[in-house]
Amino acid sequence: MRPRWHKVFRDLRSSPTRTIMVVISIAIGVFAFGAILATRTIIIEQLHTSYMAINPLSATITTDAFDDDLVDAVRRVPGVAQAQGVRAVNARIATGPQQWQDTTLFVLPDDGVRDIGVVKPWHGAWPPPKNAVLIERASLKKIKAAVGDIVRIEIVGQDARDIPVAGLTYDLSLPPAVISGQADGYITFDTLVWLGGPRSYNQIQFVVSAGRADVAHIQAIADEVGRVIERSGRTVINTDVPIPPLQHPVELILPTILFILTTLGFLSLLISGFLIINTISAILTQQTRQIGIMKAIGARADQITGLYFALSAGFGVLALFVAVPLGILGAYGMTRFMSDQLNVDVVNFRFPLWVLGLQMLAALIVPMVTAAVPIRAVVNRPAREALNGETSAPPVGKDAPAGRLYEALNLSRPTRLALRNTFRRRGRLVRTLIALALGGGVFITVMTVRTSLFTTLDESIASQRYDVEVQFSRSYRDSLANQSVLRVPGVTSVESLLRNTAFPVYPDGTNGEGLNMRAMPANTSMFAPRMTSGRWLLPTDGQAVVLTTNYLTKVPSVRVGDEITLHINGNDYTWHVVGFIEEMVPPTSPAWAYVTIDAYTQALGGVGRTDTLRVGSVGHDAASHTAISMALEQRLTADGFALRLIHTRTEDRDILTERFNILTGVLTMMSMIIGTVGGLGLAGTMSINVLERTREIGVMRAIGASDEAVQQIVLSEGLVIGVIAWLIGTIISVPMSMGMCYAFGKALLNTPLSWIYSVSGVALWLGIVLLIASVASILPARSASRLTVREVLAYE
Amino acid sequence: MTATSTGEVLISLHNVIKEYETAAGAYVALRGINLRIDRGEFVAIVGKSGSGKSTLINMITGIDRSTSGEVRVAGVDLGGLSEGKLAVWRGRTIGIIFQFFQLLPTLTVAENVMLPMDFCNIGTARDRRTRAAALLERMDLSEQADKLPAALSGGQQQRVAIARALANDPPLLVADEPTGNLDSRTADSIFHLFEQLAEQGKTVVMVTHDKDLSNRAGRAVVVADGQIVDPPVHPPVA
Repeated sequence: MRPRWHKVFRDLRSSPTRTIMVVISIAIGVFAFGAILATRTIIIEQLHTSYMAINPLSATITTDAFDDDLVDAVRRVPGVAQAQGVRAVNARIATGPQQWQDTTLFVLPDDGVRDIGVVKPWHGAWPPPKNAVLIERASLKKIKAAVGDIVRIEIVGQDARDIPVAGLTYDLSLPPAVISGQADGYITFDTLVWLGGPRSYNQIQFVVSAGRADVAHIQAIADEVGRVIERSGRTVINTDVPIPPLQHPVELILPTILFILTTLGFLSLLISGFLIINTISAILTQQTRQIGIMKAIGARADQITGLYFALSAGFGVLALFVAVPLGILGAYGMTRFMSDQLNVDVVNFRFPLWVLGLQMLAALIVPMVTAAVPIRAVVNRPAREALNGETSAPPVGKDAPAGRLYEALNLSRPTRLALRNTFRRRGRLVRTLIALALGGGVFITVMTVRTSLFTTLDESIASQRYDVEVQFSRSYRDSLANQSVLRVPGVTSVESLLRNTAFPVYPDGTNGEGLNMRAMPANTSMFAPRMTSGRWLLPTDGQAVVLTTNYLTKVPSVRVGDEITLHINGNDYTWHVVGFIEEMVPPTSPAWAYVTIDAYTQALGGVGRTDTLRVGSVGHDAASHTAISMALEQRLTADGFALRLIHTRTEDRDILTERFNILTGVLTMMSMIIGTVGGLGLAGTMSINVLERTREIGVMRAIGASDEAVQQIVLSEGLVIGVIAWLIGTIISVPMSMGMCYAFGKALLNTPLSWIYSVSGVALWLGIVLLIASVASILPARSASRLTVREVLAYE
Repeated sequence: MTATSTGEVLISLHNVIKEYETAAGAYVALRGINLRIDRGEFVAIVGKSGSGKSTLINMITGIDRSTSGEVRVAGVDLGGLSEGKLAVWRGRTIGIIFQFFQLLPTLTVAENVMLPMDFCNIGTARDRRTRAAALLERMDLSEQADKLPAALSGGQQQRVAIARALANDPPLLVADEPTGNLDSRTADSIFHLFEQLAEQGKTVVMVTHDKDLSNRAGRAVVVADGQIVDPPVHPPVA
């Protein structure tokens, strides 16, 4: 091997601390970048592959009760490849004394084999045994039971029965339980009948034989299927064609999460780049004289450039040894976390080779590209200057304004020296500040988004000014229901509502996804809507409707003032959109439509009746909610009311909090990585600064400076850099966090988050910065002060 | 003592002026230098600190460029060469020895000697190793070949630097205070090496403070305030 390459290898080995700093700087960026890209790829691939493997449906049509004859008729419709009848019933499972979990029970064929939206056995019994239930694995936590336990289950309008949880299933056709907020169970028709349900289907699902991704084609086939259903004497209640087809429900929110992660990956690499420039510059500064010697003995600029490019690439190769295994581990951890949250099975965790290739490229290219500028600057310096060790033009003149400022502040001589040192290498200072300020900015932004997320959640919960909502399985006279509720001790108020499912009818005559409709008094005291546009309902309103903003995800063109047609109970009604309100509802969930109870009953009947009560109580904490919920259930059951569901605001908040676990998890990971990268930047820069001034420290000690005085100078410098970076980071975090709260909220909740600046994040980051600055300055300063004056003066 | 001048001009400087811009204003380091050194001469350049002798050497080696005037070495006008060409030319034409040895600390002694051959692409890898070994043997440093420079004494390091300067077998050796950092006994042995090299036909140009050593050179050129002092015959040194 040529001697020059020996130099590269020995340079890598000669200063382990410096090499470790550079390697970590590169590795952290390459690691974050690789882990994130791999996670993104694996999750998207696995989700898509797994979803396609269950044979996802092309459309679902809800109709009146039917049997296998109609299914057979649908199978014969040209263009239909497969069809199946489905029965889904609303139920609830007891999770404790008087505590229930909203649950959907799906009927599976006796052999458990469903052709469309295949449900797989996961654990325990299969197919569902008679008079037993299987639970979708992601919702087991929600029912607070284990396989083998007996749970109390009640379908709407029927008596509760005890039933064993015989096993678990895996159903990828459903949104994960953490997002839907409900549990899912599987039974046979025999079990449904035993629970009091009907032995008939109410939905038909089918798969088209061609053009499975073509919405128009699917819609045309669905129309034909609808005609077949109608010819059988049944009514088509709703036709639902998923848009886009072949997309798992979580794929709607996944791009936002993955975009945030990818941005973080690139940001880490960018910050890493700044750190590399600083470290390579420092190495070149240290080796300026060596470069001069090489020039003097005949080395051309391109040969020296090649040497330092090779050195940079060498750092990159070493970084790969750290970044690749860490990246694989990181990708594995993140994939596990996300797949758990999304209820996706990662069958084969295979780190994508192209990501590995990209990591290799990044580890080699980023150091070389970032090092190009400092290498060029030093290599092009005239040989005489390089031999003299001159790395930059010496300062000219007096630093007059700064000097006057130091005088005015009456700063001590060591502090002035520290301040001058801070600003001596402006390029390095700027890069350190960019890296650290960017790190700080993102850290505070992430903390702010987290705070804002929970504030928005609290506001959303607070807008619901009731404590408990009671849903009956049918309607009752509201006076009777109110009377019964008001007899419960602790109840302060009650309001009667009617609920329904309304299907938007599009101009082409097709129906959209069902809306949760609530008819309530216009001057309700139980709901404080947060309007985003338009206004709330007025008592004088006719057929006016207020929609939640996630309706716009499904029908983006609707505006205040428009008229929409809603298909309710088999008839079409036209409603005038008067406003949009914010509610913390993910895009995957149905939108909500609010109308006045007067307008509703005028159109659909039911004057003086209610099927939903909103109840106010004395206590508003979790314990009070549980107590009042139990008391209400006992009273209403005793008075003969058939209950469908009782839920409290505490439970609603828990569901929402759980729903955002994945987001807060991602945000926490993000802040940790960015914090590490930023902190590393400061640590690296401070170490380099101190190492570079080892000789200067020796001179100071030779003229009488104590170790304490030296450490004070170094520490002050570190703290000054840290505080400046913290200040810049704090300033840039304001617009960054505002933008992120807006984008984050719009993408995931259809409404910007309520921006609440995280003061604790600012304080925490200041603490972290000061700690890193202190440790990173003091350690090398102490090492330097341990050297004898002779050793220090000879240091090069 | 020695100087085996062939009468063939190796170095010629005509009216060379060098100015530096400093914070205090323009500083003239060389003021119209005219100098001729023949092939095979052993020339000592002497003068006080700050007189301009190192600047003069930098002109000859092409490490620095003149503000005006002409510098020709081995028939080449250095002002007409780019930095890249100058580096290659320097590597093949001049061996430079510095006061503080200036060996690369992370390369072994042998690798330091091989480095100029490597940069100038002289010989095969085996040739380079053989030549480096021969040069180190000549310098009585064979046993130190695989050591790092830090493990050697000052005198040994300077001999390594001389071996490195000879690596590409250049016709001209330029030494800037090569004995300035050595004790008198070691300095004497190093100077003796230069004498031997001059006797073998190398042109040696050496900056020195040492009056005795300059007296042993074939010719002494005295520099004061950026000018060559006339008559240039062994003046007192600082």
